[in-house]
Amino acid sequence: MEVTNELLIKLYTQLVRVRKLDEKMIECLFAGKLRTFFHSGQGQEAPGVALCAHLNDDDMVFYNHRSHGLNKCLPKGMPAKQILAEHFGRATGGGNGFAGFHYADLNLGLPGMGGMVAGELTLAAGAGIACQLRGKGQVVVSCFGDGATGRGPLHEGMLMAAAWKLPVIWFCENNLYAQWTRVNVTHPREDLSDLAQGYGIPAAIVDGQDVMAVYEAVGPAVERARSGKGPTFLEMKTYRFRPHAEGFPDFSVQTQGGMRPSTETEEWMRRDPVRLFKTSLMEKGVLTQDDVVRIDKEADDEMAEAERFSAESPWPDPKDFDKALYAD
Amino acid sequence: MRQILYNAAINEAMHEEMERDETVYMIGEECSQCVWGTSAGLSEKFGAHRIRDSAISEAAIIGSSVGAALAGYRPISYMMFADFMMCGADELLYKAAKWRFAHGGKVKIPLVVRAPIGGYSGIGAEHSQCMESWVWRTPGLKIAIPSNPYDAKGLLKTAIRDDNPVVFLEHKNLMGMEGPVPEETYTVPFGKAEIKREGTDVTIVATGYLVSVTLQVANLLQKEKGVNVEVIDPRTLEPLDLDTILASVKKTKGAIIVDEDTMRCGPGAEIGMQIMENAFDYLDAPVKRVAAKNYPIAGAYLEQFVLPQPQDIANAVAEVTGDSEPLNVAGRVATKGVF
Repeated sequence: MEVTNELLIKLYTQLVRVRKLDEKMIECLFAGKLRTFFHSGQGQEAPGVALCAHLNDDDMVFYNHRSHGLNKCLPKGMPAKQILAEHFGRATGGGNGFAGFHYADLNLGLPGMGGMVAGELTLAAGAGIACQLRGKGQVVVSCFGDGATGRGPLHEGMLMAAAWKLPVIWFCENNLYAQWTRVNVTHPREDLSDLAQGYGIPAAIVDGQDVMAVYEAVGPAVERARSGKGPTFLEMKTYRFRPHAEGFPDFSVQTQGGMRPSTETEEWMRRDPVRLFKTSLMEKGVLTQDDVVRIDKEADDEMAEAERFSAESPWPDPKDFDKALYAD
Repeated sequence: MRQILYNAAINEAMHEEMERDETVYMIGEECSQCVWGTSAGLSEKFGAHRIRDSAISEAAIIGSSVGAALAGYRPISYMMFADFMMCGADELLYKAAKWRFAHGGKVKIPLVVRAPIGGYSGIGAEHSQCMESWVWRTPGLKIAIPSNPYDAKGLLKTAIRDDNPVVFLEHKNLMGMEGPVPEETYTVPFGKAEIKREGTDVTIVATGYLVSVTLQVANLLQKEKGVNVEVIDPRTLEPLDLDTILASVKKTKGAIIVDEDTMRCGPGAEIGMQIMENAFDYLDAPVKRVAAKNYPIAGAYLEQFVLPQPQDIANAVAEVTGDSEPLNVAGRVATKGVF
């Protein structure tokens, strides 16, 4: 895909939208408006945004837990108001209010999310079987964090995808922490992409704070999957700026009794993906200060509208339980 | 009508449904061979893309099937032994069962998990279980348990066409059972119990392999004691045809549930309690359960002291009908193992 100014501005706009929705979630949580919890993904916007820029509606993304998937669902086309409304528990939410904080829309290639870390990884392999049998060049992306690499489904899913050359991209956002435990406490190797070697799956390590680095890494993986050559493993080196879950003390930060040295968090926060890309585009003259202000304002308005929409939406009706449980 | 074996009936259902619908495929450990003899001719006819021999990866067998179902296919996820399903517990009990509901009914998961159940072969605690209670306490799954070749074919065809996840519990001991199966195509609907034997004195609700064992005991009771037992096979536990069971209990005034799963929290606990809630006033005696004792299924010689035996059924009938001398059926109704 050619890197045009239009694409660059689109990527930047998506980064801003994802960040603003994340901030809106936290604001609404602390205002007592969410009926559920929230795990912020600030700092990890770039991987999902760049990934989705390569995908078509009929490509499937099994999004993951961090940020409740909004760095994929929003750029894949799910409206912010549906994402927020699900957290408000409303019938207009992306899970019709049944999910708490998950969403599904098969027309957007979003088949859903569950509550078990790594639970979707074998499902992605199976969606890969379906796409391979259908033969239309669809791609499936299996998104997960470093924590998921502790569970068996990753290995069963990767083995299946490798053996049968399934069109699956294993998309790992390694933010170094599974809940409050650092990956080097639980894993023998620093690079999780090493896992792919055992299955003969080509792998790449990517700077997850640099949206263009992610964009350039995803392209060949998508092309490989579309042309029937099989899976790729991409490891994003990234970082979450906030605690595991909002409202909890950040047990991973040293000053709060945890393991994240403040020098580490400060160093990563200097590489804020939204700010990095904004600076880069302004230096290149792709974005003006006016553009930045306008894009911010539009995203703010969008999120304010999502909040209004969510608050005014109806509650789901428990009379619909049976319809939701079994298909006719 | 022609007579064919239970495993041949399953095989015919597979052939017919895979011919009828190209989105149907099968995946599992050595499913192209199938130790129970249900796979004859499938991989020759449909090829390795539709009869997929997987690694020993139960989570991936069931989980990939959920993913493929979400992506528009109708996989048949094959377990060599039903016990192995729990290696894919998240994939079965959470993903297959819950994802439709948890996403507000926005997706459908047309999936069949074929899982051979049952004991009486002495093969121990992790190769002999009936898994109904594991599955039945999980809303979102349907459960079919065919007790003869006719039901095996008809229920499997219905399962494959259903838009929901179905756990299809085929019994290992029945694979060599012969029975009438018509040449022309048919299906057996879910949620319709069958009265396998009409009777007036007591109702026995039996499932799976124990349907035929119960029928043998019932015939001896009729002949030697004049006790007339009604035997009902629910055929599917979810949906459950409670109406047929209650109508029978109201007629006979007595109820026994015969099931090979555990006594504790097994189908007998659920069906028995439903009878208590809905037909208590009609009962002349407490509801009685015949089921596996609350131990892991012991292997070899000891197995008979855990799994329900024909004599337990005769004893239960005597207790419910108030007969102080149970019929002795020991050694006259055999439990048949496959090994």
